[in-house]
Amino acid sequence: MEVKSGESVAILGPSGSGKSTLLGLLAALDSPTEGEISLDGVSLVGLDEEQKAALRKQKISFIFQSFMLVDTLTALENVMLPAELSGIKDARAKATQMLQRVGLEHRLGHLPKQLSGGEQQRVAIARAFICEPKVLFADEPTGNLDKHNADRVADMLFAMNRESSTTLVLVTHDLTLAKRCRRQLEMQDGKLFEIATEQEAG
Amino acid sequence: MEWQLAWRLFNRELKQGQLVLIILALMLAVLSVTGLARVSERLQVAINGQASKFIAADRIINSPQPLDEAILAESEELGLSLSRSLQFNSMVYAGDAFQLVTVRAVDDNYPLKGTVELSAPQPNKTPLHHQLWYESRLAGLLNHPPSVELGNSQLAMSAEILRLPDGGFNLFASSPVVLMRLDDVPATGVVQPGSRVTYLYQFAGDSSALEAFEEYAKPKLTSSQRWVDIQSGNSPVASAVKRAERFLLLASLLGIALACAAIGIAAQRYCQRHYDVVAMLKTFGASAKQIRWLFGMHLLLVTCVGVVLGLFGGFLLDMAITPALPAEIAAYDAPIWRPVLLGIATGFISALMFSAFPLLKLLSVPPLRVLQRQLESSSISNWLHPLLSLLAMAVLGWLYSRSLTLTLTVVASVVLLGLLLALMGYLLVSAGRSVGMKTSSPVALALAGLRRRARQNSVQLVGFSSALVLLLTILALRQDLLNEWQQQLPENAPNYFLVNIAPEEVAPLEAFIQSHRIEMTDVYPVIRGRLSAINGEEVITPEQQRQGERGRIGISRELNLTWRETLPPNNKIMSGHFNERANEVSVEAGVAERLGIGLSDKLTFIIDNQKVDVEVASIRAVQWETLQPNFFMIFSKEALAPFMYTSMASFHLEPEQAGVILDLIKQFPTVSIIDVGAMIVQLRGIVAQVSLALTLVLVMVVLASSLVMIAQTEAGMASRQKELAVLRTFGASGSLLRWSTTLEFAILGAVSGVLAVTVSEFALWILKTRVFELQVSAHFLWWWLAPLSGAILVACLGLWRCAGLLRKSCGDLLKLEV
Repeated sequence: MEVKSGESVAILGPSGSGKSTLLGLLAALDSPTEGEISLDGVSLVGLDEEQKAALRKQKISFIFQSFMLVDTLTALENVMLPAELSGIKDARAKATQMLQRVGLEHRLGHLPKQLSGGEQQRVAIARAFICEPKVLFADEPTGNLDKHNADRVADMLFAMNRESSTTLVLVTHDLTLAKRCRRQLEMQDGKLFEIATEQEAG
Repeated sequence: MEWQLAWRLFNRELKQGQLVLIILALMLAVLSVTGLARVSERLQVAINGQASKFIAADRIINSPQPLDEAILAESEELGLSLSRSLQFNSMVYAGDAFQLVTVRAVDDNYPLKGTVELSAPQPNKTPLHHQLWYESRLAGLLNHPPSVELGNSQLAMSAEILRLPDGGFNLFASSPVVLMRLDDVPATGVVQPGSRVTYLYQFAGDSSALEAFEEYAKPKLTSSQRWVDIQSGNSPVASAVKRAERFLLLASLLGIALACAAIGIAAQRYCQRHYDVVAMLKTFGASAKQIRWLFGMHLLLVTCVGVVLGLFGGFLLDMAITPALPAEIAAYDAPIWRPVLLGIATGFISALMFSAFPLLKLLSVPPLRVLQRQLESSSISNWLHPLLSLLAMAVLGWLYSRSLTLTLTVVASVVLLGLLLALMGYLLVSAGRSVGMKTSSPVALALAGLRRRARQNSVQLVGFSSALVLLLTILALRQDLLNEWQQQLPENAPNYFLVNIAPEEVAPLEAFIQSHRIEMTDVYPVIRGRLSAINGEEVITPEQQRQGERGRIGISRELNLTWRETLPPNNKIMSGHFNERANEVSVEAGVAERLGIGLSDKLTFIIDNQKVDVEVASIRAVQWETLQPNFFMIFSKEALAPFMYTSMASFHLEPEQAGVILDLIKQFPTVSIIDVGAMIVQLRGIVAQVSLALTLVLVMVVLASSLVMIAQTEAGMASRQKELAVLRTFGASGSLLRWSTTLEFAILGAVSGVLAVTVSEFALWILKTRVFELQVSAHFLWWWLAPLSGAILVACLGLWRCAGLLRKSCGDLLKLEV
């Protein structure tokens, strides 16, 4: 499997087919027992935890189905987190700007539990883009949302992805969401099949 | 950057109440240590201060010959004040009358502590040149002369002594005491080389100098020189002080142990809550160093807040307690640094050691957890946690008590509890295999739940039972100690002793006492005698043995012997029977043990240069602290009948009846009256102080226990939440869920109760036999009361939390983060 820079790829497949395992391997969260993975010219095989962490910090970002926001930090502080970890100086200003882009400038000081599911995921999107990652991995980003919110979040995700020319790898059950990606791959019993390559819809 | 992040995380969590439990636990640990240390420090200073007055100094060296000047120079070097005096027996003459007296010749520094109480105040605190201060009895015996002859000197009888500060508790001082100047002694010519005199060197100063001096001087003393401090000897004050100190130590140790348990549980919860955060941070590329820093700082901040609040709480506690103290104790101010340092050390050591394991686990959470939520760290060995916890407890315990016995007792009890819990856990786990949901009845559901959650339940058992163990132990010890003290010091404990009562004075004296409606103890005849042989084998003194002589050890001094036809009150026969035939003796148990005396042994005494042979008929336990006349040896009447004797008795006098004493002195001038009222007041002060401390300890233990219990219930509920949600969704009725949860918790509470009783009986047995010298008694009531109250308490806590959850809708329940 090869993903080109700036490409958007959806990985489809039934539960238990190995989508999340693949995502974990691609995103340098896990190590393969065999085979070869390289990201932006760097081989992931043989990297220790620290080196993988450094790689993730520089190049990778994530969006999760369960949002994974720190429930004691405000929306703004959650967005600032990766920027602060990377040592970016004007993290606060940048985070404010990111939240404006996802339409949450009026929710900066709110805690996750004071936000709706859709809003929480928009915070997660802002967080994902703050460090201008090369690759964004999204694990069922709309899985916990209703139709209306799911559409809104998806629109936002693809718009921001386009603007920042980030490579997007998206794991989903949702065929409609998958279809908005340039390529769709399907995972079945641990094997990957290319189903379609289309013009990006969103 | 990590610092900012740590501060922000801390600030937010603090405001949202996420850190309440762990901070409370830390605060409680610090507060109990600081508060109790402060109370016991103050108690110690106060008691030592008061008791110092009883020896008129902080330390004394007694010596039959002048002390090496180098030792005295060292005391001066250390800044101690010194008073020299000489004590010897001599005859004084007034016309034709003469009397043997005990002379105390003192320098200008005497007394270093306390004052000489006189019947009429004097401008100077010791006699002037050519003056003699005398005990009232002497004036009676010599017909009130204006002056007496002592050797070559004529000394004016210038003041009547009521009490010497170091008059001590020697009821049997047979000759009256007189006080004179040390520099008047040479002129009298009574002290010649070879005279039997005692050189007394009294020292006073601050405790560090005294300790340094003790370290220096004690090894340099010869076998005939004696080191005396307020805790030497068998005085009731000393033993009460020792016990009170030990109890406070133990209580604080248990407080530490409990607070540590609370910190342990809270730290575990704290770390579990952060698993996702760590996984997420790692996913976004945080390095191991960044995460270590972040959570290290975070925990440091949490600890600091806990410690500061704890110190502040300790300070408030001290402020609240001080007005409640007896005035004479509140007047003493102990240095504050030790309690504060102990509190800080406790906070940091317990936070560090108890969070180390959960923190290590937290730091090693794999980033993949963001995708696979069940992932936890697997690389940390589980044995590390109990090991670190025990180590922390031992370090803190030793740091605090500096007593190996106490520390080991606490650690041993914890280990026993751990083993019992491991066994219970194993039984639960093995019973839990192949158990389904079983929703037929609350009981079945509860039992099934109990077995299914065996692992979590055994963790919960730890919390519940350790809280109960400590509660039971403190409760029992507190009660036993208070009971014993109250028994020993009843309201009407004798405060006056009458000694040297001549046989013909006994009847008139009894009539006199009766006419004033005062209740007097029995009158005991007193005869001085020396134990010379056991079963025909001559005994030697411990001193002779040190000098290399061989033989059976006896008692180095003369004993006060008495006879009686019935067993005295407060005495208990431990073996044998009380004297029935002539030539029998009843021996006090402590002496019998020390000298290896058993029933039917033949003892030989020398009384008035005559041998008296008696057979041991009984071994007897005596409560020495009762302030009643007590004796090592009680003979049958026939054995002592041939000898001259005087008698003694004691009685209780209310302060408003003090006039009776003056009448008594007038009517019976040769009887010695010893006022022990001051000592009783002192003992009462100690008991009052300790009772207060005991109550305080109990309150703290109850608080700490509640905290541990609530923390544990909280932890237990988290794991039940999802199951409750599922059962609720599938239509299980509220009452079924309520009952099954309540029952499950009740069973846990009951099991904890049984474990707690087992462990606390074990701990109490060690503590009572090894530390407190109290009588061991089983608490049969506990065996059903503790499980019952454990069940009710834990069930109520469970029900309370469960009711909260059941009020929520299914949707909300399912959405709640577990």
